[in-house]
Amino acid sequence: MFKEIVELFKQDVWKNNTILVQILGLCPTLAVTTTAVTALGLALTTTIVLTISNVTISMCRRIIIPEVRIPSYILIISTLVAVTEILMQTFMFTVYESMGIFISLIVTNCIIISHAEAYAMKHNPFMSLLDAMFVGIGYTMIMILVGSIREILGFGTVFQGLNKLFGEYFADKYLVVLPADKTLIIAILPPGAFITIGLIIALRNAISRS
Amino acid sequence: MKPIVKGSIITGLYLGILTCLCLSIIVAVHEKTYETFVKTAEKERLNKQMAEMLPGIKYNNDLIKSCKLYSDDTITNGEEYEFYTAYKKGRPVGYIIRSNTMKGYGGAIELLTSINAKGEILQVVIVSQHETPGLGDRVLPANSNWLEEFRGASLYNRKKFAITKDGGDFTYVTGATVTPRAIVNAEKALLEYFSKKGNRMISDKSCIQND
Repeated sequence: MFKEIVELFKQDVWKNNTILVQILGLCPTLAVTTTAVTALGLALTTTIVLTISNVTISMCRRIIIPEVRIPSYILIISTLVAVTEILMQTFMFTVYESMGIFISLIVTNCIIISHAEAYAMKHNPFMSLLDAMFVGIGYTMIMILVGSIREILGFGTVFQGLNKLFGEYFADKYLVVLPADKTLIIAILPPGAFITIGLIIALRNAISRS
Repeated sequence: MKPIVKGSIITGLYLGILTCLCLSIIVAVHEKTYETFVKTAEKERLNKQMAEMLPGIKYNNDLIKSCKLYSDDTITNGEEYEFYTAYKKGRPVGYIIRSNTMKGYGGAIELLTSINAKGEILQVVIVSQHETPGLGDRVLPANSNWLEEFRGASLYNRKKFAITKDGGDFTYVTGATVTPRAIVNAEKALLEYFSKKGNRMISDKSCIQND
């Protein structure tokens, strides 16, 4: 059991990392990683949705009719996303505003549906919960990494705007790495996202090969 | 009945029930939270409008929460009005104050003024007025940029805080002196009140919307 969990952790975080190896769900990854904080916000939201959907689908796996399992996943996931969106609108308005349409686009994030199909349908709720959390850890790590690199190069700061996620205490808690006139605008434009992710994938491949 | 037909009916029913279930969850959550959401969004809109009134000022508190009520015979004519204070590291760096004047041609004119810590006006917004269309209402931003003349004005950098007809340097439109004069004098009264009272203007009476 314990061995199984460790193996699952290794798989989800490193060997089969959703962004770096499976290259899944790239659209939000590329679009919202302009700063570390928005990246973190979307990663956390995705993780929460993924966790609830994995557990729900795993609990319902015996009553889901196999022929229509994909429409069932879509219904369940879109309900979860709609509910999450409404709750965020109400209780975390500033976060909601800064992530905009990408919250509703979590529905189309193939990470969630692929884990429903490939994992939750075949395992018990507890293992599905762990799977979702491990995938979430792997996903969040890479999102923060890409977001930080782009923010440092593009704005010269890291974690600016943390107060939007965690309250006013964090309003001034960010690092200035580069002076504002030494930044690279391309880092916060879409090509910057592709280049950054490409370099990280290359780095990961180099590490796992050696 | 053929098994394939039976299977299809069961599958159809199953998907129908699942859809109903999912929809009712969404509707229930929406119903429960809608009112709170409208309030938050309104607050956020107000916050943004306030932030725009403090150009170039960096502050780190929630302006809406800083809202206090004050009242004065000259600048609010006895009405209870809001004023907001922007703080940076506990030090006040800007104020947004609502005031009014009864000297307008058509009765009360309500104003929202933002002032920096040095006592200079940053921006003046006319909240409500009943001036004569085409004459008095030329001061509105829709008709002219007259309100821009207040930018940076303070009691110390104007030899006389008045319209040109009264010996100051705020312009006015011939034939419509009442409105500009009323507004200029109201701003002067506000600045005088502000320089006299300064931070002591801060009352403890919080606005109702904080609750």
